[in-house]
Amino acid sequence: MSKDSQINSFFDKWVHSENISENITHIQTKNIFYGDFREIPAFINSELIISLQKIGINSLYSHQLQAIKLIISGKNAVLTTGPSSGKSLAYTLPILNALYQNEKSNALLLFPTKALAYDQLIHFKEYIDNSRNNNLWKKDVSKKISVYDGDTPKEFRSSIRKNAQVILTNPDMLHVGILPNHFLWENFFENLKFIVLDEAHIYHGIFGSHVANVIRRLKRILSLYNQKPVYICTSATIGNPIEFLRKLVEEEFELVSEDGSPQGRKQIVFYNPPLLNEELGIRKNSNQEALKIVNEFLENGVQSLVFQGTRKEVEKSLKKLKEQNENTKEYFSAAYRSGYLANDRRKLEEDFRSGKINVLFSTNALELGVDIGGLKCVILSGYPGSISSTLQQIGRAGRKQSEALAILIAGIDPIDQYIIKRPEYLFINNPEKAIINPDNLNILLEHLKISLYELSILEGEKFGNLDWEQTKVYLELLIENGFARKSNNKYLIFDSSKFLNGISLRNLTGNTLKLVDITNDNHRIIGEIDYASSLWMVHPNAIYLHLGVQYVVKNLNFATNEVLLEESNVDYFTEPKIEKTYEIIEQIKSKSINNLDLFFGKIKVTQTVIGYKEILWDSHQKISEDVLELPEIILDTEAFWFYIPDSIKNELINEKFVLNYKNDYGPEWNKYKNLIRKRDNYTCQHCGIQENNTVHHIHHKKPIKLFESIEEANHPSNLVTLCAKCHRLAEIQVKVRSGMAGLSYLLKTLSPIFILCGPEDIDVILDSKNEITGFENSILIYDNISYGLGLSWELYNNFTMILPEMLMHVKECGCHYGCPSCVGPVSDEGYGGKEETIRLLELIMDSINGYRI
Amino acid sequence: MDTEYKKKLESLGVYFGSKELIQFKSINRKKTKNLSGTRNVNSLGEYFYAEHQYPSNYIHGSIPFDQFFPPYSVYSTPESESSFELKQCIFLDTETTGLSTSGGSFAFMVGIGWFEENHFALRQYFLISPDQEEAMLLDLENQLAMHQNIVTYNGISFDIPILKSRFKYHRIPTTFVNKKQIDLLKYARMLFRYQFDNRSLKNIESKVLNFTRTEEEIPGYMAPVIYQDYLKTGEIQEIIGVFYHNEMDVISLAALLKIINEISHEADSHFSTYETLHYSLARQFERNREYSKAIDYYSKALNQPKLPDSLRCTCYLCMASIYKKTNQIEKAMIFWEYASELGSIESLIEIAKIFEHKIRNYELALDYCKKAILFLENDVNSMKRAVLENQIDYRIERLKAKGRL
Repeated sequence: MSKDSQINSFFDKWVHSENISENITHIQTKNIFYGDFREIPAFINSELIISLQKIGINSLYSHQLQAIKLIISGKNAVLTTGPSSGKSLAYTLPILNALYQNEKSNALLLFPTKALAYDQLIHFKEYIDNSRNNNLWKKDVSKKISVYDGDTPKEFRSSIRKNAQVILTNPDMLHVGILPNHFLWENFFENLKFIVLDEAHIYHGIFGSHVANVIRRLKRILSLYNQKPVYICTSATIGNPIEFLRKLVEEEFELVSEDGSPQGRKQIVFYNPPLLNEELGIRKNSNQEALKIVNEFLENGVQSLVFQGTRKEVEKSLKKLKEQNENTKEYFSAAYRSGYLANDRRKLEEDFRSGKINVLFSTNALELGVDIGGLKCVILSGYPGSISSTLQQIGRAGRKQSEALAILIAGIDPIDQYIIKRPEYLFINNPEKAIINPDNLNILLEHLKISLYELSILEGEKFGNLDWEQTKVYLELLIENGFARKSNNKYLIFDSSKFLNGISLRNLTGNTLKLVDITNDNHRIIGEIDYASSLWMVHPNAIYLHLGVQYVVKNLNFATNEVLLEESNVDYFTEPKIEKTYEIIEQIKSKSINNLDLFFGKIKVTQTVIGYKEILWDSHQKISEDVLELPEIILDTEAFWFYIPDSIKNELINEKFVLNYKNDYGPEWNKYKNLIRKRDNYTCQHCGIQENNTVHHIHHKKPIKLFESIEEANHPSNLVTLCAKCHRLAEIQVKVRSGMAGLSYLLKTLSPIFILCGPEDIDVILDSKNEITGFENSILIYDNISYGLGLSWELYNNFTMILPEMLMHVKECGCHYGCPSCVGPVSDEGYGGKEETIRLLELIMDSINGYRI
Repeated sequence: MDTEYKKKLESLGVYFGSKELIQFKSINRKKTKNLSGTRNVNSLGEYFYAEHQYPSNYIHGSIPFDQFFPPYSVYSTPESESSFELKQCIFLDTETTGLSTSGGSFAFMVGIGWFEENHFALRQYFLISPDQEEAMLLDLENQLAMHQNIVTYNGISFDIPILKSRFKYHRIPTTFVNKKQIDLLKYARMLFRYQFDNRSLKNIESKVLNFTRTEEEIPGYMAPVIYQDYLKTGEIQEIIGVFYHNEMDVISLAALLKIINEISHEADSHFSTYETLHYSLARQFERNREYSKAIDYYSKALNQPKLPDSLRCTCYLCMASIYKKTNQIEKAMIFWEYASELGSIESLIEIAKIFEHKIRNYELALDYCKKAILFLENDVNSMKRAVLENQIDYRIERLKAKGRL
């Protein structure tokens, strides 16, 4: 039996083994597909066809042919076929064809990372090297293809510009290096026929909104040379490729989505970790389950790639796996994430591809088209947050000929539990839409300014799809602020010698800091980190894991942009304490749906890392806490908010909902009761009324169910004397708050599924004390992205539609009082108010539907 | 202005530092009244220039300008077939806001000079504020349009691309990119490479034109900073220094063109003053693969009694290598012999090679190798010595082996 079929039968055995199969909620099987092959068309240069044959390409997949035909006929094309389906050949071939035909058709290829550009350069060179043409030709053609990015040495740049016919770069370099110096690129722009955006789905959100404006600038320069190139994009599966690209590139695209590449049989296993405590809804941790599976697979010779949510998780898992396998030398494991140096990442990719690394823990950094080959096994520890990401990660498993396995291990979040119980969600629904807003005022104005610096703007000229009236308003604004002037029907930058173009496309918060290892008086740069992350990841004294090595942060220096790290073997890790404050800047919209008022507007979120905790690795016990003084990060964004109207609160009181509870007060309750009444002098501690005929109530400040023992719950410090009326109000407060806590937990964790965004893209605040919104018992949901992306706007508009879905999810959950998978765990703040949340949701829905309450 | 947008903008805090920009404009308009020159207006706005005439009796260092007149003589440059009339030339030099050609740099001063019937005319455009650039470029274009050749120093890679980018930026049509570029730096490099270590215009000016600038001179690299200061303060004191610097650059261009033309016409005086000239030209022709011309100039170089031995030796070696390339082994052997008399070890090895591979006289080859070893002992350069020693030893061993056969 071959090694491969051994592994296949191990997979079958594993899936059906007793303690595994009971956790599997569903197996989605993709059957073998033999591929749809087409002949290389005759219009391709015959020498090129021979070069292709030499490296084993004798035919094309149907989707490649379809795209090539579109491109050759001058149509813009977008390919959304699966990972490793040979998307890049579809654009490489027309470009190479022009080179082989000796046509002067230049190509500009944009990649979201430097690494991807170098990857493709290697492919280009491979075709050329395998050509039958003579060496002089090869040398000549190779000179015409170059990577041009921030790492390109200054002394090579002018020669590259001179010879350039195919330039591989990134949007950042186009923005900061090429467009502002476009006069030096005259020869290149004069004949620019192809523009490629590889992995275009990366250009969403803020980054994408920037890139869209860089493309607007590029188009203005191209108009100077009368060039209208063909645009070719590749993308992961997203919900709205055509609509998205219409915004990003402002062009119409033809979609190529029917994948013609062969695929071996693939099983996608939905795995829900077993319950540890049914009542509390606590399940085993997905990362621990992943480790368990990885270990079992290792023993059976299966290489696996494990996707995890955060940079920290990846490093932690690596550390744990290494500890568990301390005595076995034959396994190599590694972590892969952003923040590693490019060379380290190349090495990891290579070692993983060659099989030298047996287990690789990765963040979504490996989702991109980095060539690591098709894998036998991919494990997703936790739902990656979006359908698109999930498909991309699952897609990493799969080989042309042999079988593959992908395992999605659910976490305890509602979204994970929602999906593990409804696997069809992943396959029936469209993946998320990529959202960008090129007209975000802040971004737009920055680029308009740079564009004005690059080339004067004629009166009547448009900037992208903005009409002249709009463009004019912005230009007048630039004039008024001393950045532009108008002369002879032209808008000009006021003084181009003064202009500094320092804006970064990737983050709005500033610089990148270098991570410097100073162990043993070295000064070695081991990675980098962006400003915003640095505050919570590498604050002074933080424990920071990098490539599996543990460091302590000695110094975080914003003047030199350096983080000094020293290797450390302490037995704890650190967790930052973050304080956030919120302020509503402007209410823009509001509406009333019967009794419910909804609001939409602008808010300011100020976030400060105020300290950190030291927590032991093994017992997770907190051993110390310290204070930090770090600069704050301000987020200006959009929010949606609403409050629970008095009518609903009164209804809760009328229903005597509070009395529905049957609590076990313990055998000695009467004794406690009398003791406290006496202590409080038989007076209601809220309104001051003395007992008169009727006996006052005793209220548990913290509900009984939160305590392990009744003795603790009945401790005098938790008891207070209240009159019946005040007691009901207090209970109502607690109930409403519990319901509100449950509702906000649901909104935070489940609404991303309905408005199609990642869980990190929105945040939800429960404002029970009227500190932000001006209303008691209000909930505020905001876009976790500067200036917003329209997510809370979506919620504002569709709020009533998602309420029934949320209600159903909570009702279906098997827990008693609430758990992490529905309304949140039973805890100090949430009170695990499952029942309260259900009732609150019902009342809100009644209220919206106009039932009189 | 839409107040809503304005408010939006303020709340975003997008703009800052703009007040300063607007301020300097008003300050320096007042102070620059003291700058003497012409304020003119064309269809693109106001611009400013200073003009100066140099009569025919002006002498620049050791170059009397009267020889330029009347300006119809035909000029040429070395190793170029074409020739041109002096009247067709416009001499140009810019002072810019940045020292690189990267986007955004622009010329705040453009000096141009040309020959009129009986004087040399100089015009220096200066941007009193950056918004005069367009009008200035338009007038510059009109001046340039009257000439066919643009004479610069390093203009091909600096002044011309910057000006070109600014015409493009302002979308002003221009013909000057199609004009013939005469970049004197190219000729200074070609002709004086072996004569002077430093071939900056200033050094060439002092060594070749014997011209020394006055105390007014401000080094060119200071110009960007001075202009920035001027924009802030409106002070013209140092700008006047930049005017002087630019003016002298333009005048020196004319004077230097005369020298280069004379060399191109083989004026003897220069070849006796600069003993490396023949050699330089020979090298140029060799690079161009014009071997007979190269041989001609090497011979001329060798005929100079003043030629230093090191250059003489190099001439022999170069000639020998041309003969070798063109398969005239016997002639090559003669020049290697000459070179070896001047201590060239390489030439001995070359001769040994010929004896070994072509003539197959191993004994003679061995003799030359041994001679080379002897020479090596005088060679002070230990690196070179070690390398050559190895080569020769290897060759000797092989020759010995071949000789035995």
